[in-house]
Amino acid sequence: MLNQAERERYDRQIFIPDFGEAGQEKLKLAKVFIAGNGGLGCPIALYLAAAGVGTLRIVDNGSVELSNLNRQILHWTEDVGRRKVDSTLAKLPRLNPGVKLDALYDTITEKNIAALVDDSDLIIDAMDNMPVRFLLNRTALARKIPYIYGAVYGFEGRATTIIPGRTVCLGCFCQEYLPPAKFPVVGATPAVIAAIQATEDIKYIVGLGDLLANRLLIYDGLRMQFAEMALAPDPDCAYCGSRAAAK
Amino acid sequence: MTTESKKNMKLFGYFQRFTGGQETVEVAGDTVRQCMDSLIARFPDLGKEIFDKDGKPRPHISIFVSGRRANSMEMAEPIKEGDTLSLMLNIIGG
Repeated sequence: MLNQAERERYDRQIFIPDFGEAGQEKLKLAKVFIAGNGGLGCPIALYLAAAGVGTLRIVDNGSVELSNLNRQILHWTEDVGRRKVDSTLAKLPRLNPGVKLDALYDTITEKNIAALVDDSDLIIDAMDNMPVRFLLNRTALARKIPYIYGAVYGFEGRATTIIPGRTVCLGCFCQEYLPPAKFPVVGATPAVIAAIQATEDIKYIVGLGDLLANRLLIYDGLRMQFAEMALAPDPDCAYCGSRAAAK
Repeated sequence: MTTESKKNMKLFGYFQRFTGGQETVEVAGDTVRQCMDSLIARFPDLGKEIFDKDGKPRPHISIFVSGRRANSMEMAEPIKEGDTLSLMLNIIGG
């Protein structure tokens, strides 16, 4: 049940046709795992907290650097040197004290990922490296938890929503090994992609609209174009394909 | 005389700077490799973007054939009539 303050806080989204108080109650009961508290993770956390997702678990092992501040909008000049999760813990509850926030300073590994994801309803990928992205993919498949992918470079971004058993997985369309490298990015690019990931999250929880399922959204900020490519499941995918299933 | 058929290739974002902003270009070939060679013949500066000095595809490129990733080092995947190729950056930033 929503209280009066919640009805007022979320009035503009409750007002959306087919959203209603029932949709808001679904958000309130939801638990979302956000891997990463950087360029994507900050706006995702802000929009999901503002939307009233009941529990957010955010995991990151980094501290704020001056060069993060062009895009990691929960972290400010005064936070340089501070753990990112502590910076987030200091601010997000001020936006919405009704959200239960677990912001954990930790490195996501094969050993701890199951405990970190725990009983989350959704996994949101806001990472900056392929090994952890693939760990998230594997966990999502094993636990049958939807996994919302996003990535950025410069003025470009990608997003898709992976529903285990129904759509492609990360292994179907992404190369597993990419050499880690400093990547260029203008701060508005992760904001665009994060907003798309947050939108997918809210739609999935509330049960509205059409997800980015088997569709890769390709954002080109320089030409200000959104393109879409239909993704085909790979039967030879080592993670979700028939080859993996036969093992 | 070549019997290779014409195919459309879509280039996204970063790669359009090498085609003068064209998003879709016509290439010829019956395998991914032939189509990539045809693309590079038209836009030579793409060569070093797609292949390393040993002629192997660079890890930061993704080639798709009708939505299925073509990931063999040999790029031997066949292209059928009606297939669309796509070329984009593999991006990891977050």
